[in-house]
Amino acid sequence: MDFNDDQWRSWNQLIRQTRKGDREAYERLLVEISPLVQRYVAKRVFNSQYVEDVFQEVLLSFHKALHTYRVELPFAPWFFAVIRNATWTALVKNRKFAEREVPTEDFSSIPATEEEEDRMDDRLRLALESLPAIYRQAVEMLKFRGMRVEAAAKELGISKIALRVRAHRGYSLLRKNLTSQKQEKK
Amino acid sequence: MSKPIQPKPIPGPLPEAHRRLVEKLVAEAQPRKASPSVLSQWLLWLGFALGMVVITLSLIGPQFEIAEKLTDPVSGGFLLLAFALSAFCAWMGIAASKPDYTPRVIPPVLAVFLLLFLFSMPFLFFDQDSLSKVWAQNMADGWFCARTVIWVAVPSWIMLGWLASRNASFYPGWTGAWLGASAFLLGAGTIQLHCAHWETCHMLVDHLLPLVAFLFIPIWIGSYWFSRWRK
Repeated sequence: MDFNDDQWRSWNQLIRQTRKGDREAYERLLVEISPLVQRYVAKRVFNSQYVEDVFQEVLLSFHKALHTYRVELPFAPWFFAVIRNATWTALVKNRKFAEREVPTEDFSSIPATEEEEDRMDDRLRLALESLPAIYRQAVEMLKFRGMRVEAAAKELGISKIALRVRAHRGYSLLRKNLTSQKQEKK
Repeated sequence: MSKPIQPKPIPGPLPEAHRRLVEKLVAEAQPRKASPSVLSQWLLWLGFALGMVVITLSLIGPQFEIAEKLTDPVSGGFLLLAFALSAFCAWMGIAASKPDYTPRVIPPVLAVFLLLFLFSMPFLFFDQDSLSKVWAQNMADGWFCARTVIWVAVPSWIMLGWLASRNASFYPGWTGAWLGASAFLLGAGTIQLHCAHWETCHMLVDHLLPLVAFLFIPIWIGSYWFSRWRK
């Protein structure tokens, strides 16, 4: 795929249409820029296990930053600056995570028995049940049912921020309950 | 006359993970207004900053010899440098909050050089006073000048922060630093229009020290606030 002036102008046009809410134009834009973004990321990320993660984060950043592009200016300089910054930021973030990550291979050598897993489930269920209803709801929706923040907030009829606050307090209480259970057991 | 656009056919199917991501992003797409240019946002801040200076001076009043001070090359130069540096930092902060911002060496080096010159001006050009006298005066008036600097800086920083938070910054710490420096310099310039003490220790401790002492706060808050758009 070669990227000539017509292509850049076409993408500029697609962004103009996207701004008006044209989803087909946006889909077309994302589908067309994806190979370019992926090539860009693959050339700069040497650790192959990060390429896919970085690509997804770059595309997400592009999506969230799209409103800052001024359509009267050329698209290419803005586009490359954004994906360069997004790639760098995603790499730094991934590196930070990798530093804190506990290698899962270490756990594979000590598999949990079925009994241990059941006990763990019971403890978690008990800790979850002890939470106040509003916090339990938030934790269940986001962590157990895997709902998106927007959807969960809509279902509960509260703002996204309020839901995040509830979930955060829920996690803190859950952690406290689990720790106290562990200490009682000792 | 430019050639009509010939859109290329949509390339072959994307891998499954990419397809799902594209579908998710498309589902979130909504009509959205473009974010204003750096110049428009800077002009908006400039109007707000002028308003803040005017309101503050209408409350505390300008110093008696303001016309002479403004025309004097040294004191006028100090004021001009403080306000110009504030405007420059505001511009850089807004520019740094855009996602296509590319950090360069020259602007921060220039800003640090000018800041150092601003901080050295009280030593070079103004009357010397003693730190104990400044301390005693601050105890008596409850740090009036320093409080006024903060009174001007906080709304200015919130205004700049509100503008920057809508711009999708990849350099939130830098954005916070530029905007914080701008806000405190605006405060330092404003209080100098009111305060008739053009003396070294007073200018440094009460007018310029808040910038050094509290700059970490806008950097720290900015690192969270301006990176929220990615979450």
